Amino acid sequence: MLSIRNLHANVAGKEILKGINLEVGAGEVHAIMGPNGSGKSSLASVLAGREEYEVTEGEVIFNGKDLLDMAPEIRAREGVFLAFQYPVEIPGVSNINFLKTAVNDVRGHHGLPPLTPKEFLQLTREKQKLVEFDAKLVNRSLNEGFSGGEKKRNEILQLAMLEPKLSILDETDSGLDIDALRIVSAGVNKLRSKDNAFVLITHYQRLLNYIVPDFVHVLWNGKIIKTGTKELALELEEKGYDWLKQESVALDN
Amino acid sequence: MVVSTSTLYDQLIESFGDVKIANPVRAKAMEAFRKNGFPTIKDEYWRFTNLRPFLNDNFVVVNEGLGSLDANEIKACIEEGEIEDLDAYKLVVVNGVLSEEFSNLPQSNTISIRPLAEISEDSTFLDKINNRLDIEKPMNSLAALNTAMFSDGFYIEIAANAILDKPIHVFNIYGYSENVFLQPRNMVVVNKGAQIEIVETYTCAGDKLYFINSVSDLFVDSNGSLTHSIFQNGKNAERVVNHTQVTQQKDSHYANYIYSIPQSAIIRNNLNVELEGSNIETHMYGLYLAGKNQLIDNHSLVDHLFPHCESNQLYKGVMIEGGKAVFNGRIYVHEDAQKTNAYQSNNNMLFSNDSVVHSKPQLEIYADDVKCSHGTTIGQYDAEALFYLQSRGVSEEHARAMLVIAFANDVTSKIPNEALRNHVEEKVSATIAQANVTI
Repeated sequence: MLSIRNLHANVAGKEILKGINLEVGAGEVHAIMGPNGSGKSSLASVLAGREEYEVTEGEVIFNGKDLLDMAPEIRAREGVFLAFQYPVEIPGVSNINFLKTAVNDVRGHHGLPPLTPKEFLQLTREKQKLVEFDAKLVNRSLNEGFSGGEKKRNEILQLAMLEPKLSILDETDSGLDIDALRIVSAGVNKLRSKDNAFVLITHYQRLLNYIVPDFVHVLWNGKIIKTGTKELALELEEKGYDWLKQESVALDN
Repeated sequence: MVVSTSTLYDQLIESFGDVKIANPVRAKAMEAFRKNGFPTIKDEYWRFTNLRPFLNDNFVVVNEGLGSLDANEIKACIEEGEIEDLDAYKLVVVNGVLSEEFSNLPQSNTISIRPLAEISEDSTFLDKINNRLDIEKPMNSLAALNTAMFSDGFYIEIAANAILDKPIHVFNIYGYSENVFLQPRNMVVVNKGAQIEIVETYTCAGDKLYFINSVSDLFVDSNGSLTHSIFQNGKNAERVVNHTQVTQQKDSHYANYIYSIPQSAIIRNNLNVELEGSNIETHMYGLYLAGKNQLIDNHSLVDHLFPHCESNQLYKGVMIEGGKAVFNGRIYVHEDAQKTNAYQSNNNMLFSNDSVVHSKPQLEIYADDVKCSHGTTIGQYDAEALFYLQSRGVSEEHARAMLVIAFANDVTSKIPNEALRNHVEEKVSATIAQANVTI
């Protein structure tokens, strides 16, 4: 589904990603872990098409197409979804109208007619229930005055509505209490299928107790320095990152 | 002495006819214009709006009614001014003259809608025009010129305690085959306890230059209510100076909504409201989207003369493609106007590196027990919000329009009339979606 090959990227002239290689297949869940400043969120940003990141080398192929060549909205319509670490509050834009525009723009891209108001309402109700999202929040301004947990749940609601092929969750667990973490994870687990894939960016092994990954990657200094299975996450929890950093430095030398 | 645009100036002085000279009000007004000339940037209230380049072309100074539009052209202009789903009476004014043929007026003896010319030559009429408008001040010299020279416009008067069931949509239509300098004059009288809503649109046919120097006198008597919306979306050949002079009596309500979008080369709106009693409520909402080669200037004055009144002003601006805007709001709270609540706010959002906004919110308070606030902001759109919307599949154009509609929401949500609100949001969305963003 997703092939990242030798990806290098700069932000403000500084190299942040220094040759990432990653293959994500349909039905898989990948976790990307790593210390602060290692480039995890930058990778998510580059994949979603954030303007300030400049790709200097490498390629990203998504379902046979050059992802880096697409505008952010085209990536989204093709099936890439980034759940934001800090979802943006947009006063004056209603959550429900925003969802409707997004769903119909994505449908239009695939040659599908817009949903009728009734169909849309039905879909919203169904997905709302799935991710346990408070119906009252749907009619409010987008994320305005939402708690941290409500914002993250709103991300998962959008994910559920748009049914992307590849979902990148950028530290979705940060700032969540145990109950919210359980609800968000349960939502993701319900949305998992053999046709879609998830990339979870996280600092903590805790999330991976709820959403069990097929692969765990460690990102450090703009590169993936170790790949393993869910057991790697447990090892990291116990030992921290220093042993890997040393291994990596030794390898480079 | 007068140095600028001498051709037009001389032409105007010359065309001030004998009949008008005989009228003392008009003669005084002409004298004021003769003395002050066109406003210049040396005047504090015109500092950022230089009219000179807009007055240098050759204009024919015409009396209202000398246009050259045929029925089909008038129909086309009406269509252009239509507001979808707006259930309203139609008042069609062609080249300043009320057209019975194209209008659809309320059939009620509680409301009188007539050409101003029918009553303006009455010897007492000129005493009725708003004497609160100080035409001797250089800043008001264009209003003085209008007072001296106007020949027609519309006159609406609603009888005491009458309530008009639907808004009146005024289609101001102009069509000339040469460049023209026009001076329409309109008057609205809302008697005690009456209620009326007026929506105005402007359409100029053809590609000639139009300089429209219009003045409206509005009177809202005690307990009366006037809701007044003006929609400005002219062509680049249109130059508009629009002076609205409002006088409110006790317990009355006046709400002014003004929406300006491209492309008139210059729009200068003067809105002066005199609060001549207690318990008056005044609302002023503005939304301007200044585009390429455009200057939109909103000047307002709210004069709090009596205690226990409330005025509320909120103007929002969106700047694209090098458009320029001026906001100057002045709230004057006189010594006797205790317990005044007066609020004023102007917010601007830039989408262009070359755009300029001059914003000047002013409060002058001489009473000691009031609640007043004023403020202004100028900022860029939120790039992170734009990216957030795009990352969900919304196109950049739609996302930008959503952000602008969200920004404007504080103003548009106040529009009491849903059809008009949709119309404004649609026009604004379409304009911003097509805009070339350089920031």
